[in-house]
Amino acid sequence: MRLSMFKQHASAVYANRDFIFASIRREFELKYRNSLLGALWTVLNPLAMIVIYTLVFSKIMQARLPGLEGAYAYSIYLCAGILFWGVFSEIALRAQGVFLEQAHLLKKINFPRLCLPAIVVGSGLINFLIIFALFLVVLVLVDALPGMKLLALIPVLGITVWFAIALGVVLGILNVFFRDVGHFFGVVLQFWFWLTPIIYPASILRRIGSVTTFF
Amino acid sequence: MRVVALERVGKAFRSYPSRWARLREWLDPRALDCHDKTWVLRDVSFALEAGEALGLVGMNGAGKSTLLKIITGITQPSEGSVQLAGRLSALLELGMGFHPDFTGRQNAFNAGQLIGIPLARLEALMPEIERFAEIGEYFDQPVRVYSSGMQMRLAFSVATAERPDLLIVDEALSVGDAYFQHKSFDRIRQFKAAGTALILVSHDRFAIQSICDRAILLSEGTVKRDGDPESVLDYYNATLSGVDQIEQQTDGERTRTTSGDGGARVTEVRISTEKDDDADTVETGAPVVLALKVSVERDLDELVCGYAIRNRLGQDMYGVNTFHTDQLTGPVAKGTELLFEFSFSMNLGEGEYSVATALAGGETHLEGNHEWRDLAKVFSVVNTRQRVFSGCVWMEPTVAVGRLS
Repeated sequence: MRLSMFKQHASAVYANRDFIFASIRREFELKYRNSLLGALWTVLNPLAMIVIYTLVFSKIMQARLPGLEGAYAYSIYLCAGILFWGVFSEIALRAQGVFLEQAHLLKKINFPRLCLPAIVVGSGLINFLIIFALFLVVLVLVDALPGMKLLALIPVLGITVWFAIALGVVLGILNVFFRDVGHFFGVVLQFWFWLTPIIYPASILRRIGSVTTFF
Repeated sequence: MRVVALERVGKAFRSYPSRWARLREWLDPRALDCHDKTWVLRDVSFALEAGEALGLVGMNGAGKSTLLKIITGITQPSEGSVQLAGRLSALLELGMGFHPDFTGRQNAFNAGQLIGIPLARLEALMPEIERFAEIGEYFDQPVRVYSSGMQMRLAFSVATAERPDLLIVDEALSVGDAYFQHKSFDRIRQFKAAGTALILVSHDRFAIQSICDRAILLSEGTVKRDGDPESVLDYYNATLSGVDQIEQQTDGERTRTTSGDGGARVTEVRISTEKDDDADTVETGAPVVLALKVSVERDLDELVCGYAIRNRLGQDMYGVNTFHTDQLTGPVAKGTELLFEFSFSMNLGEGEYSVATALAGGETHLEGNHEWRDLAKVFSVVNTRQRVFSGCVWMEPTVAVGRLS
């Protein structure tokens, strides 16, 4: 029963793939319409964040990863974390607001509702892949490509996206009835970011001990 | 083939006294009913066959839009069921969720895919959509610069790009200009002939009577009347004047509607010509006298008597009353018999016409309606003496032809 429902929804998404792809494309067009740098902003935003964190933590605060002395070790660690946090928070946040955002469509046209989260996942993944491709280029340049270990990313990415969209859709539905959910989730995400070993190594958490590990 | 069938459909909206009440109902298993239910639809049942056209009328808030949303599947009914066979296309309110920043073409693609037309098919249909909308170069400009009429043109063109099995049009067409309205009704008629069932919401009597085979009057969420458009619309018009006494008598295929508080009654309607004292057929251009015999049932301060001559589609050809001719009658005592005679030339084209009569206390039939009688008299106009012409109105020209070269 559950499985057949899943199949039914999955096939509805598949049947509407043209629409989903077109919507993702439109979303990108819309985002960069009337901007001079266009798609470059997809890269510039996370790049700025990475530069700031690298400067602040590794240069000013002299943060080092225990046991790793490479010049770029901390930056690479930071990028890996921020990129994944980025795809998670983007998908969860967008899914959380998508039903309100698309209210004008939901109230006027009957179409498979599952298209909306599918579009969110699609555009989130594309954003991620753009930045990740850049990240790989950097890794090659500083000669730090991890090799076959990269393959482990695929299931990790899958789980992250699955979790993000599931959480986002649940919150999105609640958000329709209580706008507080949206505001509250924004606050929760801030805490979540700093409670997750992204900026700092996971070993710090173990040292503190009393803080719940999120990863 | 049955295209759509509704079985005792009802819709209730929940209203909570406060936001916290909703939360409590969700979280507290003991607090089951923290809301009030407002039924906006109840017990609505009807079915449509292929090629059948239904007009949906009712005052604002009668539940028309909610009913359409349930049929299109945008909202779920609280009770009852909707069965739909085939593809549905709906034009609800304005637009189809167009995005203001995208061009008409991009929006047409978007909306077309949303209603389930595959991309490849849509590409093939796009030239036809562009041609039908006739919005010229605006088709490639952002929708935000469109007028509401242009948005409607685009929306209609997309919604009807492919013939659906059920087409739903919700008042949207009233935004269009006469030219486009005419064009869209032509297309709707073609679809209907090819087997599309139609549900049309309109306040335009002409639109409903010219295209629909059937009409439903919704009132406070229930079906008040279901029948041929003329009788349902007459009944609806009568309810608009806010009286409860409405009678409908059916003789043959037409239904006469009479409404009013009964302060006065028309007892006889006659059209007399030179030859015939009670004519059913009148020659175009012939001088006639329309005589209304009125019996006063109550002491009245003022009495206005009026009539309207209508064509087959219920459009007024001409109407006037004694308020406008400055001939108020009154006061009149109970039991008085009055005779109103209206003399004029029957300057109408060939066809079937009807006379509606009105007795009121004031200018319109909405203020102190004593009696409103639709189809009080039916007559035909024939043209055997005048030159042949087309149309409803006889306005004979003198023709001058000059050579310019």
